[in-house]
Amino acid sequence: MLMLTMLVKIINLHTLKQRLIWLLTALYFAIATTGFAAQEVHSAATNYANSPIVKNDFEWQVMLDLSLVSTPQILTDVKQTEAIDYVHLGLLLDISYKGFFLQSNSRRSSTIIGSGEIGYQLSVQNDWELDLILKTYIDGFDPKEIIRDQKQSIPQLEGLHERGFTDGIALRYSRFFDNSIAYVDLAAALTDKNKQGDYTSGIIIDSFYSYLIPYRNWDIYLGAGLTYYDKSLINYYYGIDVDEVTSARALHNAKAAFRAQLEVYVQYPLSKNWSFNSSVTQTFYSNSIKHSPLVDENKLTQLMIGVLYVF
Amino acid sequence: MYSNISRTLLIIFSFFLSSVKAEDDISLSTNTSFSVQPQQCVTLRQGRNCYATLTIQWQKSTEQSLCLHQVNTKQNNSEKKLFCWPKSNKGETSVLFESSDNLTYQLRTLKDEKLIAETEMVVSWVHKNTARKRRWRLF
Repeated sequence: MLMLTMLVKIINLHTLKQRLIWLLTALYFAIATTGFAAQEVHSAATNYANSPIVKNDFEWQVMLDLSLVSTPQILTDVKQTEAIDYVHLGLLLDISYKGFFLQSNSRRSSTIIGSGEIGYQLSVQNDWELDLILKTYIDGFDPKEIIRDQKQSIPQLEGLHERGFTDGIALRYSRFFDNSIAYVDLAAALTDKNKQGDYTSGIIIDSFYSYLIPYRNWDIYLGAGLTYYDKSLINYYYGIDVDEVTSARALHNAKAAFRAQLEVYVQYPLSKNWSFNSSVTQTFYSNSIKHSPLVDENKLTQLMIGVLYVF
Repeated sequence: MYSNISRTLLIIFSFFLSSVKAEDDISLSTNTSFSVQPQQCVTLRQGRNCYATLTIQWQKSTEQSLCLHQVNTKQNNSEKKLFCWPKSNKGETSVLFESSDNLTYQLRTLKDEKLIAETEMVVSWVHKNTARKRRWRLF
């Protein structure tokens, strides 16, 4: 579904072409330079049964996630109002075959919001990997729906146009260490159509570092992330167009922004199928987002506690 | 009529419970009871060490000097003598379990190491350790 949406967007969009050209050029060089190395490693893998290099195996895992989540919102006066808002039920699916994969990052609390990824392993080495990724990088929001859920008037959101999802096609470089992983996504991203039927494109650079501390039967993950969003994308979400200006919303042109995240995620096995998990994530958005009339808070603390059922 | 059915179900249920209990107390000698609790240790990922504090108890109708042995059948039956009870008809001890393999606990005589009773501590896991998952564990 995500892939189809992306394809439709890409076919209809000309403004993304330039960004895609350099991304694909980078991709070409990545494949060309790593292809030979990958072959070498593959032949080595046949000699060593324990080699971690795997592309062809069919592997899958399905998990059911039931959790309580406190997710403060960046938008002005938007809160979790009912008990059901705190309950999250999700299906996490991981499949990989012949280098293609569909995965959900169950080690990050952002998964709670939903963040499946479709990808292809371009090169898999012992300590690094290069993937092509399709994923939703920014969730959208519908002001009408928010106001209806909040059961109160929010002048800053009243009459505002809907902001759709931003999907991206990215090159992901991952580096594996003994007990940690670092990755960076270089993504050409595309918003949903705006009211004029136009798409907005921009670059997202998303990086994350996760360090695993195994303590007895516990897994403790310490994470830190830094994400850069292009001006055009931030303006699509948090900018105010001329036709959206009201007394509660001044004209606003948003600038490029950063998001920094610090996270602690813990997991503990309860039985062969169940595990307990909990996390706390502190997110900081740069002032360029806070200056928007739609935003009143740029420091958010997300808490999650729940269980995972592994099929 | 209804109470008869309930009584029958209760008896069946009790029989089931007693059979489960009987499995817990594995002994070769009919006059010895030997139990290890818990009997299963669950780790997050296959191949990783599992940690648990085991309570090991035994009881015999006659006094005898017995020793507790830990055997790893996957590692050439490597074994460790953990504890001995001189001349006693019952014993209890706590053992820190730390292994990625199933381990067998055996009660043997101190004098000639004759096997009196044994039970297995089973290690299971939530996530299978496939090659790709070795990377996913961090992700």
